[in-house]
Amino acid sequence: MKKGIVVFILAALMPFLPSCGARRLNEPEDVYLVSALGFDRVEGSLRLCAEVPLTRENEADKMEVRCFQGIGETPEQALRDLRAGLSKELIFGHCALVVLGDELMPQDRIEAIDFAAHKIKIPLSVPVISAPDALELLAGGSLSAPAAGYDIPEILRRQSKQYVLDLRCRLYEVLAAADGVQILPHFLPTDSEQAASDLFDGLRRYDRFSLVGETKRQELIPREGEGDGT
Amino acid sequence: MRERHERGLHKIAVGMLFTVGNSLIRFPWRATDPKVTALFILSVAGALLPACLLYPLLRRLFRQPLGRSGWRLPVAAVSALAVGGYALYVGWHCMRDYVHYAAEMILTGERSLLFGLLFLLCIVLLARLPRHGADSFSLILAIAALLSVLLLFLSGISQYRVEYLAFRLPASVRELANDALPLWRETVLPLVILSAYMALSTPRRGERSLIVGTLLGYAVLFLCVLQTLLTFGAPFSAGLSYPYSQAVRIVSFGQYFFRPEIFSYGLDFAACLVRAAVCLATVKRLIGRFSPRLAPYVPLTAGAAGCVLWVLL
Repeated sequence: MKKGIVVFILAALMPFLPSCGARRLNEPEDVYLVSALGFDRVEGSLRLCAEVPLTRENEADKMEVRCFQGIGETPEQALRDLRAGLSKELIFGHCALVVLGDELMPQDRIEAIDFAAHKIKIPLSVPVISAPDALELLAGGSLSAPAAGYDIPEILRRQSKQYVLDLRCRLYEVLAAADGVQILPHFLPTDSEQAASDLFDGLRRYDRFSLVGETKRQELIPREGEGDGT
Repeated sequence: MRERHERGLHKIAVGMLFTVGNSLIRFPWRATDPKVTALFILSVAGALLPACLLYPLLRRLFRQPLGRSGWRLPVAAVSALAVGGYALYVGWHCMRDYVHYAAEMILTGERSLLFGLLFLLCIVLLARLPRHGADSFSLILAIAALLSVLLLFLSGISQYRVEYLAFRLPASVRELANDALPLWRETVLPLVILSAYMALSTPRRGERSLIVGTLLGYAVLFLCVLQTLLTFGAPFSAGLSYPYSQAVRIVSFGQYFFRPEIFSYGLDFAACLVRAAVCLATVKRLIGRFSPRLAPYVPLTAGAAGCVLWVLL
């Protein structure tokens, strides 16, 4: 009986062995790992941009960030357009941020986050923010790190320690509140005049993805024992 | 006495994992409004019906050796045919559900053919193990499953929104039937197989193990459903293919250890494996009642047929 159990345990482990390897031989250098996605409306079309940190062998400390963009009537078309010019496959599993441009229509916003969550299946816990122009925000990078996609969630985390923020801006929270109120952090590109000192601009309140109000950062209530800090 | 007590615990573990089975993968049943809570309570009530009604009947039918004459032989043959056929269907369905789930969530991009064959091999080996070996394995898996569900539930507390929980009764009996019947077909009806397995493997006092195991299984499901609802709310959960796995995926322990969904994969693997293996073991025992010499070959034969079907389909 003991022999049978040992054989069974070995067999039970076998199905998990393939999960340990690099699937389809995709090494990090052979793919584009998307760190952030941005959606804008430009000249009547939807623009999708993907922020990709480029890593090179033996040069891990020198990170270069590129923003690829595609245009289309729908997010799917925009993604096809974006992919058409790329030599490597896009991987969305590491995406850490979704940016919605201010020019988007309410229906665009719904389609964009639905596309991100259900079609390309980025992690549901990524924060969704708004910005005047998503491509500009992502292309400009962040003040303290090249990839805005990885830096802005950290800025948000620090800001929520500094201010009383009832943030419900993670992708699944925004989707779950699709028929109600969404409160999204608003960020400015680094090259704007105000953003030279502060990327985080405040909160924007949406009702069914239509802008209904705004709270500037200066109007936010600091937590007890915390100063402005900037 | 100690031996009997230990066997009772083992059977409870088998009952628990069988009840969780592949039901967990798609919980909470694509429900798009707050009546999901009422439906869950209904399913718990329905889950005890096979244990209370079917187990005594099947035990009475299969407890003693079947004679050559009398009413028991034809009744037992028809029952065995119905239960055995349904067991094969449930086992196949369970395996298919898990392999598709694994191919989509764990091994994304991999072909499910190889994974399906490996999973089938596990089912056959577990069904072929002597009773004590399979039971011991189930007990270990059940303890691990309970601990991981509790750990995941507690670690997700910071994400929960109590306002997502709402209780609403269906407006009419027709609406209730429309929702409850598919649910019972998917989650409660397979428990018939568990009753048959217990009746065949535990000829005396199996009711306790059966009822406690089923209730424990539902307690695990309840925690998983509660975590999903508190995290996403019913309408958003309904839009996800695998709500519980997705709910667990956003949990993180501190800043550096995140995405502990491996625990939910393990739970699904254990539950689906035990359910499918119990289905196969039930068929083996049913055939054993009529022809003890044929019984040992049942898992291998069914496994070979399953392989062919899996490759063809």
